[in-house]
Amino acid sequence: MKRTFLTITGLLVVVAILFTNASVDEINGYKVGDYATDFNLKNVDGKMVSMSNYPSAKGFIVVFTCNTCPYAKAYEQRIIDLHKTFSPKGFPVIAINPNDPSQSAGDSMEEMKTRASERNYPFPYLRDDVQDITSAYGATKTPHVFVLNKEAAKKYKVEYIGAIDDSPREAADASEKYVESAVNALLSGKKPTVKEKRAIGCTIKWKDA
Amino acid sequence: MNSHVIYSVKKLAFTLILLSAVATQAQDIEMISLNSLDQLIKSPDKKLKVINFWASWCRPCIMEMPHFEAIDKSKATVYFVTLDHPQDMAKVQRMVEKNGIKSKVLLLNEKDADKYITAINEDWSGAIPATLFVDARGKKYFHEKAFDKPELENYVKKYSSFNK
Repeated sequence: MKRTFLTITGLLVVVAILFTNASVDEINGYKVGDYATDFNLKNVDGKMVSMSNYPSAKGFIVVFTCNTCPYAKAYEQRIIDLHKTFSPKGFPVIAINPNDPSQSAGDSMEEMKTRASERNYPFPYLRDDVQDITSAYGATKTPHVFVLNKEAAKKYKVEYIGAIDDSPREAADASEKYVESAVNALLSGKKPTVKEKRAIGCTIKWKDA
Repeated sequence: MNSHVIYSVKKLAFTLILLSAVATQAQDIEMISLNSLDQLIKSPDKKLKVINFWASWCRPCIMEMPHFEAIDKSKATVYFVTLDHPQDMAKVQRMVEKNGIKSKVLLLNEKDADKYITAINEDWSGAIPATLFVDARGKKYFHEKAFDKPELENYVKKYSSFNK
């Protein structure tokens, strides 16, 4: 009798812990060390893009960004440069626009196409219409970066989350280039020393619930 | 001749009055360090403190500013803390004047965003607008979101119930 009681109590504790963890993850998205889900989202060229489309990639620089946020625009050239530097080394940029176009007309697929062609984006610029990838990753603002290391097929480990560098206003003033350092560490077989850095950004325009 | 002089004097006086009116209207935006902001957050107060984080480039921030300015000042003290770069002070000043902000505006002069974001609130991702409410007991409530007027009024009502 006592034993049954203990077992039940134990089970309840386990369930409680599991439940708490699950709900916390749901709210907060990925932490460094988690495995990120692949996606299948529409690109500005009309094609669907997944990380599994890049069999030879060593990892990815996933950037939640948009057309309309002044901070995202300030980082646009730096995102292009990241791709130019790291795509040949196996870490391409994949940009995802999470904003609901009904609240931010400047972020519609049409506007994204215009921006991508005007600025000659060398990377895919995808729309997360359902916003499930954005919430799974736990992106809250633009720009918001996730550096993923591909450990094996379909195993994308989150190694860095946050800001591109420490100078939103002027690229030239940056003294710490977080994403660049993280990818360089991974390329040399090491873990990034800085795993998370927050920055100011624009709130993601979520669909009305 | 005489009337012309009188006219000029009148015109000058009028200009002076106008100028002084403008001068009293425009507030000096103070630059503060993270330390002084921390002092402000911690300083005891008989009523609710509402500290809104914004930037001159942030459209949803500008849109909610009037709701904050309209808060009943007998219930709460409102502070607008801009996260703009100090070099954009003129832009900040323009926004403050354009929106007729009389509440205290402060510019957080701190380069390390990660440091001040986590110091202000551990759960803040860095997205703006965001607002920190500190009730009269010193208890803090952080909201990383844009407010509409009724929603903000509800929170002010709720948190100011601890006013002394």
